[in-house]
Amino acid sequence: VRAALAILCGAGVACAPVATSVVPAQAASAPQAAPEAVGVTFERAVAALDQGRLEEAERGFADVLARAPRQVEAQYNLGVVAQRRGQLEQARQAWARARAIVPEHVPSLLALGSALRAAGRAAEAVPLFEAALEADATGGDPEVACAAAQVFRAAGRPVQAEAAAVRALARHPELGCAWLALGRVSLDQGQLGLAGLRLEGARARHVDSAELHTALGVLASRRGDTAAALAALERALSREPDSLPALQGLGVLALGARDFPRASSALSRAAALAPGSAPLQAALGWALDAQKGREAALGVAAGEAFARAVELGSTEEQLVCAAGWAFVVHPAGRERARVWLSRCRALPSLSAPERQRIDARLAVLAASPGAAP
Amino acid sequence: VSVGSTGQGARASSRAGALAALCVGAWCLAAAAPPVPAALDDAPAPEDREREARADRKRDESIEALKRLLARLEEDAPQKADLYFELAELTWEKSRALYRGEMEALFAAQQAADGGAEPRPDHRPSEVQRAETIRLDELVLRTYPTYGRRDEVLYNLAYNLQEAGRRDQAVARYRELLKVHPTSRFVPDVHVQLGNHEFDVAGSVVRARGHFEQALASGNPRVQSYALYKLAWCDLNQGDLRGALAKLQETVERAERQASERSQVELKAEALNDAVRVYVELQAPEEALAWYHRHASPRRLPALLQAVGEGLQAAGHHPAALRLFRALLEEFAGSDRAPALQRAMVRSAEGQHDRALALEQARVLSRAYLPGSPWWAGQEGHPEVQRAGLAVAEEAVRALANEYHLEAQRTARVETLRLARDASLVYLEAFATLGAPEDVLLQRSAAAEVLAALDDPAAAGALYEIVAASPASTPPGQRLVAGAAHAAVLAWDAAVKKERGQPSGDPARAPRLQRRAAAPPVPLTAAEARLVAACDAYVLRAAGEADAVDVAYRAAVIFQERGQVVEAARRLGQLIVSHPEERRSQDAAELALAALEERQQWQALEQLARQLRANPRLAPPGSEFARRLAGVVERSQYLYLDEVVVKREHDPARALPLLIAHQQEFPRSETADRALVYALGLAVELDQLDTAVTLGKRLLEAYPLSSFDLKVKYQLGHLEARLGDFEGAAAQLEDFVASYLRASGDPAGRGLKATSVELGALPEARRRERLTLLAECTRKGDDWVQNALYDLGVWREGLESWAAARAAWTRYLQRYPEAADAPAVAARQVELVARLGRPAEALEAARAHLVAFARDRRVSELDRLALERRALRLAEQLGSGAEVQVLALQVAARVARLPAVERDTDAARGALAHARFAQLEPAFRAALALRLTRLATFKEDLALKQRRVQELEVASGEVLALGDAEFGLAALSRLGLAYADLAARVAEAPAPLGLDEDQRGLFKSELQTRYVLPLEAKAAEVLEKAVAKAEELRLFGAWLTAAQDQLEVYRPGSFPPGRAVELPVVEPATRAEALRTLGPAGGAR
Repeated sequence: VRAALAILCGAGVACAPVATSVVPAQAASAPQAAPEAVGVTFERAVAALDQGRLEEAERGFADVLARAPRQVEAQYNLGVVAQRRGQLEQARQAWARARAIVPEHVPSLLALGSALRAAGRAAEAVPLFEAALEADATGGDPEVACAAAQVFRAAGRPVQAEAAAVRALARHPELGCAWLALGRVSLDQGQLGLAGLRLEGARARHVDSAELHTALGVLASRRGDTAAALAALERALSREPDSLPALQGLGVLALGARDFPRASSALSRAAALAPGSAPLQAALGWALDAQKGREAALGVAAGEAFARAVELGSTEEQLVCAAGWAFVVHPAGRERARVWLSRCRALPSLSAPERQRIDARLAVLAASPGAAP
Repeated sequence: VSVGSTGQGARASSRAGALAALCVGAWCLAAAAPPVPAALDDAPAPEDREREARADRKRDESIEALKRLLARLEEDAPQKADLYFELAELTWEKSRALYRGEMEALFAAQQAADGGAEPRPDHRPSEVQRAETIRLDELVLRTYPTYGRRDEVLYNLAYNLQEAGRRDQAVARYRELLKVHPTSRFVPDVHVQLGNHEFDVAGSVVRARGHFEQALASGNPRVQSYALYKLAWCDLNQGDLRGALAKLQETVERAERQASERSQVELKAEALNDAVRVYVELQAPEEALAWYHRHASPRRLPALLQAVGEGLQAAGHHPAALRLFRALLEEFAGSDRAPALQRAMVRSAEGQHDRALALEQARVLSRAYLPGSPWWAGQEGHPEVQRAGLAVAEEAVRALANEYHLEAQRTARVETLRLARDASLVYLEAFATLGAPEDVLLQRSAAAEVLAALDDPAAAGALYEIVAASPASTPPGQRLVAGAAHAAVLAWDAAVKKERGQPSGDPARAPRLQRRAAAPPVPLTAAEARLVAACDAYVLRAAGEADAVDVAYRAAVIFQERGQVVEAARRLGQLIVSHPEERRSQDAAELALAALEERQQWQALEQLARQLRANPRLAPPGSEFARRLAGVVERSQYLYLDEVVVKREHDPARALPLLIAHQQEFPRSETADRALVYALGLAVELDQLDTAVTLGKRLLEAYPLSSFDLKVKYQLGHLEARLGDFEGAAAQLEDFVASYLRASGDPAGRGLKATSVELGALPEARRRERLTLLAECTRKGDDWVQNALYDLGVWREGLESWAAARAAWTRYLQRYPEAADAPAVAARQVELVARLGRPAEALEAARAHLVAFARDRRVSELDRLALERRALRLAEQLGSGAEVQVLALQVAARVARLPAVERDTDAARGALAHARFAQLEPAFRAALALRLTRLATFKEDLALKQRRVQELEVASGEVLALGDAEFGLAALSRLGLAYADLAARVAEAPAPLGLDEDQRGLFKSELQTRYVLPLEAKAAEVLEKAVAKAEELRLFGAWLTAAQDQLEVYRPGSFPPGRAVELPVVEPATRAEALRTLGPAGGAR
């Protein structure tokens, strides 16, 4: 269970595969159909899952459930099978069924909670983690509290998050994930000094995750130490190249520090991880746009980023104009420049001088070779 | 025995059988038993009943037919006598048939009664028929005097009269027959009958012998054999044993010659039986053995010989009996009779008063017929024989033992006591589990009694213990068991005293409890342990008995005598509590408490004190004793937890809740706060930090005057820090430091001067402890105050509580200027002041530090260099050019003085680069300051400005050559800006006087082309290098910004301003987490 919790504690804590050592406890409550045979089937299915034979594993667990419908481990493992296939919704459903069988089944609670959190539904995950904490009433498993603290924090419940982390520390004072959780709570609350002490506490306890370095980067940034912040975020990315928070942080900081190449690099990776984020596309647009003076082709890329941000629902009117001015710097973007500048010109908030500039540029575009009639 | 009759008809033959039975029984003068139907033992089979019924019906029809015929015939009809005779025969047969039926009915009634009133036979119907028979016989004799079969009628009539109990009439008829019919074929039989009558009824052996000799003289071999047999009896009665034996032997031999006749077979059997008596009388077992072996069948042989042996035994001829039994046992060792024969051996040995032999034979008996013996195996498949054999053996040995015990009781002599003991032991060895429980119980009890009398108390005690622990279902058994418990105590007490060489006596009276000097505990001896067990068993059984308390005390004293005070105290405690009114209770209580305390048996002491305290009769509430007990409970519990659970058993998990409970139970006790402190430490050890914090806070709240407050505050501070609560931790440490300073009375100094006010209220012990604890706070090597101040400084800095941090550091430096880290702390002070926004003050502090620690060995040259460089930055921040130059010189000089190794470090290179850069600042400013606005001096000014910029370029190259990124970039940027300034200044150079507008335009254009643009190109080139290097090295700062700004001027759009954007908060690894691979639950891992 501890290992299960480790993987589910989320947010960069070292994780390991779920593997309770319990041979199906619920098999005892199964119908009288040869309990030994059920156990053997279960073990075989687990072995198949271990070796990546998902079809066989799925058949095995389904067979176990057919004979022992309340075999919670088998139900849980069906969720694992689905998750390994990338079928996250099916996985969530399987874990929900496992929880229906045994409401206090900690691995199911954590898997389900983490899945909800991963889907951005942290608030829904809160009661699951509360239940997991209650099931682990003695505080014997520190990772439960760590995972809960992270979720509570993400759900905007700092007091609850801090209590969960302190509870873990009370029994396991060297638990790095709890220090990290506490540090992040402090950071969220703007207690930069306390956050610094706590995050250093995590680092002193050998936490070296992307999450820690991201938090340290945010802390340094808020303290105005851009260089330290960028270095911390780079360290975060070296630990986890696809860390979205680190990429975002790095991009934003670099953008502010006029390190536009680094900003565009980080933001484009971030945008790839979160393709539906309009603000990210906008930021990427600004980072690219700042470089169009040195490399015109980047203007087209900037224009495309602005355009995606608008398409994704951004209501920032300046992005419409920015897209036009970005496209315009490169011949390959001129047609789109005309379109976007025309849209910009139509904005009611546009100032008169700016409208004149656009008119002039549209005239030039109209006169340029290859322009549409 | 059916000797039979010589009569021709069935009637005569049947009547003779009945008569013979009467004769045989004469030897013991017993009356003949009524004839019993053969089938009585076994109910007739249905087909037999049917056959009999048919015969009865046929007989009845014949009787009726005869009667009808007789009625039709005239009285003088010649055949009428025969018909009457025939009718008499049938009537007699009917009488017999009815008799059988009556007996069957009787047995059926007996079975149905099943223990109720004894059913009586009803022979009236058969007797009616018998009377009719007699009547008919007499009718024939009376009516037909010439009837040819009168002798037969007479014989039958005599027989029936005899049967009907009319003996005199019967004898008369027999004599009439001898007189009237002297040649009749019935004469030999009549002599037999009359001989029997004389022998059995008249008691005249002489007349009887006469009749039997006449019978013997007849020619009838059957009658002769019988007469011979009866003559043997006559010899026997007349004391001629040899004659009798010879006749019996001849009888047997004659019978063997006529073995085909059943009557002879039976006669032989009788003779064999009767010879037993003769052999006994003759005391001739060997003859008997030989003769019986020749004539008795194998089946009967053992019984007959055993009967001889038993006869010999009964007659007191034990040596002969023993010889015979020994021989028989050899011959029939495996037979079902063997146990009885062996029992007979025992009895005869005992009969001849040979006790050793009797005991020896009893031992044989107790072993030879038990399960597992060869005999037992030989009787496999015959459980009834096995059971019977076992019962015989058990009964015999038990009887022997009982007899010896009775004798031992009667005589009280040692030898009889030993005999009784041995006999009982023989019995118990064999039958302890096989005999009846009550019998075994009795034997054990008796054996124990004898052993005690023989001065073997240990053995007696062991047996009494077994008896006391035995179940008993009967009142006598229960009395035995109850008595045995006490007897066991007595026996083991005697054993202990014997072991110690003490005189025996009542265990309840001596010895008494005595206060003894502490001695190491010694194990109880075996006898003492048994005595204790016996005492316990007795007390358990006889809780209400008057002497139970004494016996219980006896057990406690044993432990006390052996130094086992814990157990002694436990026992005394129970006694004291259960019998507080007992005269010894108070003494015992004091004694037990003192002994346990002396031995430091804290748990036992606590338990005892609790027991005593709980008894209001012993310790009335409010009494001095009760108060003292309360103190003992509290103190002993604490000491138990401290010394045993924690220090000896190293079991903090167990100790923690117990210590907490101790404080809760005794919140006002002296040990309460101590227990909390102890528990706090254990909670930390067990990684239960939340519990530790709770306990610490409880102590501070509940015991504000506790001597442990400083320790707890110090611990709490660090505990809260370990839980991530640095604000709380810092507050605790500030409280700790303030409390310490207050307690020591020396807020500023370092000495320890506990205030008299604070200590005055404390008892002496506490005062000393308080002083010790205060001293602990500043113990060398682990100075809590020093640690606290340092941690405070660090945490307050971390929390950005600059003033509080500075206060902590200041106090630290005041108290510990000699500390190894004092210079470092002082350096941190500089930074703190700077953080407080007071750079001038910070600069002053840095200067002071450099002076104060100028030659301090605790400060390295690199440390000094770092501080000087920090001062340089502060001076730069303050814009104090002169100060900057002084500090830059100092820094450069210090770097120059560094050893080569240190000089090659990044810190040294950075410091030197910084210093050199700062030293160039005046030159840069001077280059900027030169304006090219005066036409008159333009040429000279331009040359000078160009020279200054070139000099700056050279000097900047030196800075760059130092390899420090920050100041290399700064130097490059500054150089670029210098070129940019030169270009700008050239561009704004005044036109020569006298030029018209066009000429001035031309001049400006020429100026721009020939001078400004190259300079701007140069500036841009340098700035681009700076920016590129910064991007490469990820450097940021004011110089980079300035360079970018300038480049943006030259190439608009190349470095637009940075843009602040806000992105929504993204939780780390959400998507990665969702896609991460989970492992399965369950399985064999």
